[in-house]
Amino acid sequence: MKRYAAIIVSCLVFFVGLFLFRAIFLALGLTLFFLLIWSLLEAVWYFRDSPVILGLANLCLAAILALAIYSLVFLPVEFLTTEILLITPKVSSWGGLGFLGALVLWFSLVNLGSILVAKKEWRWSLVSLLAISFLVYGFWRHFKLEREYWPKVYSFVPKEGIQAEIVSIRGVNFFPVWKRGKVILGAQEMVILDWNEELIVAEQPVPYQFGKVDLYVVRSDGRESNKVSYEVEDPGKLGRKATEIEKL
Amino acid sequence: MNRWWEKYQRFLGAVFLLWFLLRTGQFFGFSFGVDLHLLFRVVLFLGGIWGIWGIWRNWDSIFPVLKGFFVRQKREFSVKTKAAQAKIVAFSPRILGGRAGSLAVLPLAVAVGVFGELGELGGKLPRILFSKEGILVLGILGILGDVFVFDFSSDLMILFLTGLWLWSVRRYRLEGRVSVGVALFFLAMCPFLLIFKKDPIAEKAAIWAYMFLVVGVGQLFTENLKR
Repeated sequence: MKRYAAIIVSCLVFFVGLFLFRAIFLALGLTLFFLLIWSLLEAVWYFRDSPVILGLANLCLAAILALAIYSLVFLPVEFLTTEILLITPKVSSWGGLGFLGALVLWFSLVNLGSILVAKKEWRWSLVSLLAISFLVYGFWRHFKLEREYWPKVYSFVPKEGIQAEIVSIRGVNFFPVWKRGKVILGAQEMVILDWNEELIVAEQPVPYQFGKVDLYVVRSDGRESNKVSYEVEDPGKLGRKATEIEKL
Repeated sequence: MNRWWEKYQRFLGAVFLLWFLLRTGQFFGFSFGVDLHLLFRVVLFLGGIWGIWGIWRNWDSIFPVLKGFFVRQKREFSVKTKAAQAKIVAFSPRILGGRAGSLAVLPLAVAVGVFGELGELGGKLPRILFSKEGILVLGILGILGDVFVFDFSSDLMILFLTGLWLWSVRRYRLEGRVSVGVALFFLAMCPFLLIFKKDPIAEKAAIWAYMFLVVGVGQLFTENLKR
C-alpha cells in the first residue's frame, strides 16, 4: 500500500474500532493488527509465484472449503435431525470427523488454485459459498446455543401401561435431583420415584382418561421437554384382550 | 507410488491446517461441534504413517548413514571398553592377569565404556544449549511459553528471558526495530485477547510488549548515539 493510502486506511480502521469498541486502546490495537496483517498479506503477495506459497495456499483453500461445506451441510442436517425432527442423541464425534475428513481428502486432491486462476467466475462462486456458509454457521450457532440446554426426552419404557405402572424416561438436561421438576402425563402429574440429569423413574397415577396422551418433563425452571406419546390402558379392556388371545 | 506419496502429503497438510483453523477458532470462541482432541490424535496417527512411509521410501539413503553412525559408535565403544579392560587388569592382583581375569573384569569395563559415552553426550549437550542459536531458540520458546502456556507469573523469569533476548540481540547484531516490531506484535494481540476474555494471556502479552519496547528504545537510542 502506498504511504498516504496506508495512513488514510489506518485512520479509517481506527475510527471503525473506536465506533465498535468505544475505547482508544482497543481501536489502536485493531489498527496495529490491521497493519500487521496487511504487511503479511503484502509479503505473501510479493512471493505469490513461489511453489511454497502456492502449495500452502492450495492446502489452506482445501481446509477452508471443507469447513465451509461442513458448515453448510453437516451442521444444519445434524441439528435438524437430532434437535428438531427426531430428538435423538448427538451423532458420534467420529461421524462429523469422518465427513470432514472425506471433504478434506476430496479438496486436497483437486488443484483448487489453478482452477481459480483459470476460471474467474469461480472466484465469485467461492466467495458467495463462503459467505453463505458463514451465515448458516451463524444461524446454527444461535439456535444450537438456544436449544442445547433444553430438556429432551430420547426414549421411555414401557410405551403403555395401567395405573401404578413404573415408567423409565431417558434423556438429557433434566437438572439434578435437588432441582427436580415434574413429569406430566396428559393433564396429570406422575409420581416421581427417582430423578437425575438423564433418567427419571415415575409411577403412573390413577387415570381419568384412557388412550394416547402426551408425556413430557417440566423442569424446575418451567422449561418443557419435547412431548412423546404414551398409551394409558383401560384395565377392563385388558381382561377382554386376554380372553381374545386365549381363544386364538 | 510417487503420485500417491504426493497426494498423501497434500491430504496430511490439509488435515493439519484444518486442525489449526479449528483450534484457532476455538481459542476465539467459535466451535464447530468437532472433537479437537480426537482430530489431533488422527493428525498424529496420519503423521506417524507419513514418517514411516518417508523412512521406507528413503531407506536406501538413510540406511548407509545409520549404519555408518552405528559402526563408528560401536568401534569407539569397543576401543574404550578394551582400553578400560586393560587398565583394570593392570591395576588388579596377578590372579586376574590371564584370559579368565580379562573376562571377569569385562562387565566392569563395559560399565566404564557406557559411562564414558554418556559423559561425552553430557559434554556435548551444554555446547548445543549454550550456542548462539540454542540461546535464541531457548529465549523465543521461553517467552512464548511464558505468555501462552504457564499459568504463573514470575519477575525473575521475565528478567532472565529478557537477558537471553538481549544476549541474542548482541550476538546476532539485531537492529532496534526488530525488538520494536516484536513489541508491536504483542501490543496488537492485547485488545483481541481482551475481547475474547483471555485476560491472563493479555496481561502477559502486555508485559512482554513493554519489555520489548524498553529493549527496542534502548537499542535505537544506542544506534543513534553511534551514528
